[in-house]
Amino acid sequence: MSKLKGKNIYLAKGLLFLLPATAVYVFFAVIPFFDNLILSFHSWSGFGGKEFVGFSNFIEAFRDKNFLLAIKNSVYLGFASSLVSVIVGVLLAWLLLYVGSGIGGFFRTILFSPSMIPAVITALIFSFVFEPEMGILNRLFEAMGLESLKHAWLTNKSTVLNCILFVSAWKQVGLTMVLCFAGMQSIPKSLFEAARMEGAGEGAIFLRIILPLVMSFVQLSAIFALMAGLKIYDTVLALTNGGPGKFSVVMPMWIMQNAFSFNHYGYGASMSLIFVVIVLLSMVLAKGVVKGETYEL
Amino acid sequence: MNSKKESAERRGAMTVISYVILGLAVILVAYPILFLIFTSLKTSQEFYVNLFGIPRDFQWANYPRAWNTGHLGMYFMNSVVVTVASVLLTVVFSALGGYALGKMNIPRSELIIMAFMTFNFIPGIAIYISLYTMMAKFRMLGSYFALIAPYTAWQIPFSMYIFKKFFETVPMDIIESSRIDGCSELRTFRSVVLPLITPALATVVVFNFINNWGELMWAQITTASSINMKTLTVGLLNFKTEMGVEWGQYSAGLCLVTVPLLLLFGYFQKYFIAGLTQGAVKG
Repeated sequence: MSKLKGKNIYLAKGLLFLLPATAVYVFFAVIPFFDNLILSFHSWSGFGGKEFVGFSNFIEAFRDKNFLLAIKNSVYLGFASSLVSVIVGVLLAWLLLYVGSGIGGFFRTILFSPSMIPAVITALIFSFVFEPEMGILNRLFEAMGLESLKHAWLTNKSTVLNCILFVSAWKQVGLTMVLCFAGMQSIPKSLFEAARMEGAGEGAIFLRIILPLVMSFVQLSAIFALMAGLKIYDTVLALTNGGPGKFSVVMPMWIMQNAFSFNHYGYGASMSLIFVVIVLLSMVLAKGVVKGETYEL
Repeated sequence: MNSKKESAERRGAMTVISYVILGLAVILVAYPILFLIFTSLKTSQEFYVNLFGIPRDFQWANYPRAWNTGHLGMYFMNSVVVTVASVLLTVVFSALGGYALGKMNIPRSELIIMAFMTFNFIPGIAIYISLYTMMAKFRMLGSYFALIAPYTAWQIPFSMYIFKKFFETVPMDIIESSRIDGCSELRTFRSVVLPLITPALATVVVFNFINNWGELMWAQITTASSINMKTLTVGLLNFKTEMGVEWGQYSAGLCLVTVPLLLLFGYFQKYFIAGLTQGAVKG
């Protein structure tokens, strides 16, 4: 009886402990989200009354060429940067198993450091790299006598998206590598020794033992990279501002412009909901594709 | 015997390949950052003739010049105030919440944290439009509050998740005995449980600091019409045009944001990564 009463006291105190976090989150995230949901069915310029327009904002969105292009770009950047950073990150993590722990720690620190730098800054650094006249990349090709490889990287339609992809992956790979390396380190060394005794090659050990055992880490980092790529905004803004023309526009950028530059708040709200659906669907899809099975070690 | 030798040879070859590839990767990552630092110490004239290398004559004066140009010093202080305040608040709120969910008999605590985490996947722009109009209605645009309060809120789900995971590993006996000794719940939390989860604390602080220090979109929206409230990321985007082609000063401005972050978290990185992998993967 008294034990039950004691439990209830802790429950009441527990709810009190949980209250500040919940209240702040509800007020600054949950309420605005549902308000946004209502707004998406209205036409509103920011001043005066809101006019209920039903689904017409959503219908307009699917006729909006720039929005469709933005969806295509964001989805491409999401899945491609997830793929690239997972492949490169897993390979680097594997190679780290072969180097001494001292130098390995140094390698990890350097390779992880881009994850610490704000995305705007990495993009501004790379605008130095890709700049056509003074940029490092073109000057490097010039110095090597490979003039034919010079490009106006960020204003050329055939290179701009993959330049953005490169910058995004450059920033993301370190996190993937660190997470997967942590997974690989937890595999008992005796497993490798046993496989080597049986005559297994290093490649076979990677494919048959290491990779299956770190799949849950791979899945997690794939989802992190996918989310970062789908929501990419800072990098694109600082590198290209959506250019040339609207060629590299991404979803958050087009929604921002419609809401805050053109004052089409209702239209922006409805596009942002389509964006939410795309993000959640992509996540479910990615979870299905990269199955993370947990193994008891 | 023979296969053992072969196996050792294969390992030796792999070690060489590993050093080569990892070395190249390190150059690919480190050089752009080093290039930025080198450029920040060059005159514009030197930038044109010596693009790739170490500066011949270190122009330290680029730093104070950058600090005093285009309000960069003011933006730096704004970023410090906003980031420190919001990180502190998030840590307090989410540690309390994580403790409650992990150790205080709240029913369906797993479901509650999953609800927070799922909501956290929603892209910010689906929140910003309405939040902007709310802030405008309360005449809060262009105040520290308009940045600090939302930043505090948005970092709560992940932080609380990490705290909950770590609190769950604290044995109940320790908490029970502190309660029996007559400590209040807050006292138990602060002086008995919290010291046991310092890796979680380091993880949450570092993670939130990186995110809030580097946040751009909401800062752009809410400080659009108030020059005095801009944060560093917003300021630096406009900085390029204000500096013209003063490459040295411009790079010094970018370094002012980057180098302190790298130095500070180069130190914390070990705890941060340990906490992140433990919290994110187990369970």
